[in-house]
Amino acid sequence: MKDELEKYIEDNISTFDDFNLDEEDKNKLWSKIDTGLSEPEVKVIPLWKRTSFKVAASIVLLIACAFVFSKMNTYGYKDQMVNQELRQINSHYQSLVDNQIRMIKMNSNLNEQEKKAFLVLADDLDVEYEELKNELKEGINNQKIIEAIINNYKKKIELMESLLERSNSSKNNFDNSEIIL
Amino acid sequence: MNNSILFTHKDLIEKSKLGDRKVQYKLYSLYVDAMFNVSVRIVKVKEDAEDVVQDSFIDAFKNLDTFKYESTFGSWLKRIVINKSINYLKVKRIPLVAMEEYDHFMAEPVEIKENQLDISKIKKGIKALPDGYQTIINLYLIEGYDHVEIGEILEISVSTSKSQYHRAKKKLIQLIN
Repeated sequence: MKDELEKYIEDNISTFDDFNLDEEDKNKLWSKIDTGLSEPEVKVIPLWKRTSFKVAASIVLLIACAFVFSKMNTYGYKDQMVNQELRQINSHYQSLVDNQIRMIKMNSNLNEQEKKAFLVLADDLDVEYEELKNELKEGINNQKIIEAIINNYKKKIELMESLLERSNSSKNNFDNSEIIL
Repeated sequence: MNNSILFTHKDLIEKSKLGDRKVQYKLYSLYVDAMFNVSVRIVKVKEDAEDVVQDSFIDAFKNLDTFKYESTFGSWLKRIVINKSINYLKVKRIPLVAMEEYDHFMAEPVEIKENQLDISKIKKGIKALPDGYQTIINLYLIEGYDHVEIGEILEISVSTSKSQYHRAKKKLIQLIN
């Protein structure tokens, strides 16, 4: 139900249009509208709305995902294998090397010069070992590199064994002489 | 609504749809004053209302194809002007609805005194209302929208529109008396 105020306003509604634009204002306004209508619309072609594009995009996405995952898997698997092999080699040979080093340290028959010569050779082998390890990370011809790492360890052990042998033989000689004496 | 009213200016509208600039100018001349008044009642600044009207006519002519005579051309165009004017208030951060604090002290209905029914007093009263109340009074009393339409325009619920309008009207009557 409309009350008196509402009815009164409705009856006099035209009196609320009390602004009038003069002709000049109207013409100015029209020229702006005219310019606005003449401006070429920038057409945005919604590519993603085309079914063919959607299908193509899905296929590209699937191929990309498959490629990335297969790469990740093969690299991941290979890396895992190489790391495991290296770990096994390290733990096996390192314990041998550690054992030899302990024996060299405990050996009182070795003079400083012999120890120094041994350390220089051991250092060279360590440098070679680090290089081989870095090459292994690059993943080229892993089998050959692992073989080279094993050889590196073997050389170290050989070196220490010969050193210990020499020291023992001198010890033996001394012992023998003692016996002889 | 009577069909003949719906098809007012059909000839001009159809030719305008084809992009005939002279006919578009005729349509513009017929409606520009009314649209300017609609906008200036909401945005209150002449220059801003001119910008709103300019934008509205450009949009209307560019989208005239979507006009299917479901309402009159005038009310279709007016809705564009109203929406753009409301957007202007939003950009200027002018409140679209009034705060609750204004009206807790005037719960009881207020009747307008008969001798106070005077257009100039009513206009003055509307101008003295808080921004949010002015908009709802304009939309309901002057532009003639119902609460469902006002709800859509101001993005508020129908019940909010009703309660805001009743508070605004009470405040207006107080100001007039």
